[in-house]
Amino acid sequence: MSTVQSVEVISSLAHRQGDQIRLVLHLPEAAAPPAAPVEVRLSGGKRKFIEPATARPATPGVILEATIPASRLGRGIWSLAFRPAPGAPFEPIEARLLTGARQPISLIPGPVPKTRLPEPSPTVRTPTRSRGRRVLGRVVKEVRRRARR
Amino acid sequence: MRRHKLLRGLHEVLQPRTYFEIGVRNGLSLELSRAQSVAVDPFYNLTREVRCDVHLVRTTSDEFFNRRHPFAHLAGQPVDLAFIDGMHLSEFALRDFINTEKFCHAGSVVVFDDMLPRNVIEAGRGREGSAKHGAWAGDVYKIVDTLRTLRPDLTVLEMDTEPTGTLVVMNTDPQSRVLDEAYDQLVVDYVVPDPQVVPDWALQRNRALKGEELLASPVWAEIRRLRSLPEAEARPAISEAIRRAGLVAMQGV
Repeated sequence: MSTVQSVEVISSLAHRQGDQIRLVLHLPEAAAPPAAPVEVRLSGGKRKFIEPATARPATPGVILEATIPASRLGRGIWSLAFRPAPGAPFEPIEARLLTGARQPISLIPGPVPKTRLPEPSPTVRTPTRSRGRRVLGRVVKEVRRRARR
Repeated sequence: MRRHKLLRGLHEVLQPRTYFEIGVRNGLSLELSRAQSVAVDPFYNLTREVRCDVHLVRTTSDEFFNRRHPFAHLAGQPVDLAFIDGMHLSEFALRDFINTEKFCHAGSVVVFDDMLPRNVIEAGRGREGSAKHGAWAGDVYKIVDTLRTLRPDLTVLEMDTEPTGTLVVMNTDPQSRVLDEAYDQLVVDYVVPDPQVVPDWALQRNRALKGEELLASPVWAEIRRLRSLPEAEARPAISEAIRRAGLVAMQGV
């Protein structure tokens, strides 16, 4: 089973840089970076991208940095993983990258929150009938009731 | 004045029709709301009674705003009062403001917690040292200068509340995209290692207002009266009411 890498939130970030998204992840529990190239994997639904990354030593752990074309990601919430050496298994990273259309890029550290209810749809308020219409409605209803007798 | 007393006072004078909160924890601030409310926290653990019609959302604020209809519970009404007390890091607080403002109107009031740390350790991005000093304010104070510099249209009031100060932002504009456009550079500027260089105005609180002074302002009745008007009429009238009440001058710039 692969190790889940925690992310040090205070020294990690994600932001747009021109038409790229720059991702800097401080992984305090990762082993010293290898000489070989590393890779980062972004998964969102059925979509998966593997991008080259750089790793440099940090105190403690490793700083992982990758640049991804923004057009490739589009909108979504992306799970992250990294491969510390060629042929090694991907190690999940305990953070997600959010690329929304109406909001800034965000790196969300920590486990996925457990929600219990489905996302609600807007409720539509039915316009309140005026007092006059309510009275009229009651009169019409009464007249119809009597007419049926 | 403690921060929750200020927030209670704002509920009383503003009489918000809707309330939004980021960072619920045990419900100490949510219990003050009697308005239709939405509250977000991935790890809330209520120990207080809540007496409002609330949609309590267990997720992060960023994921909340990524929803198709984040404020479905408010049935199309904008946010009148918001309290942002989520992650105590400047880039998170700025994102929370950017995202919240899109659901506000000219008469909305946005309150941030932890804006005036009492010392450099409390103002650190890391919370380890802060625990020994009683509170972790984090580096959210950085957004005060950002708002003042990039958004002079906002009224930004530092409040001298205990323990770690609050910020009251008025005259919000849901159409503004200035901060959205600046965000990607700001996040690079914000994310720097501790210790932070904390400005004197934050540590000394020499331009902060007293809560009593703000709550006694005549502006609240004006905002309540004007906020139901169409946006085109409400915005200039509310801006003028804020100016007339002396709050623009009180910003202490």
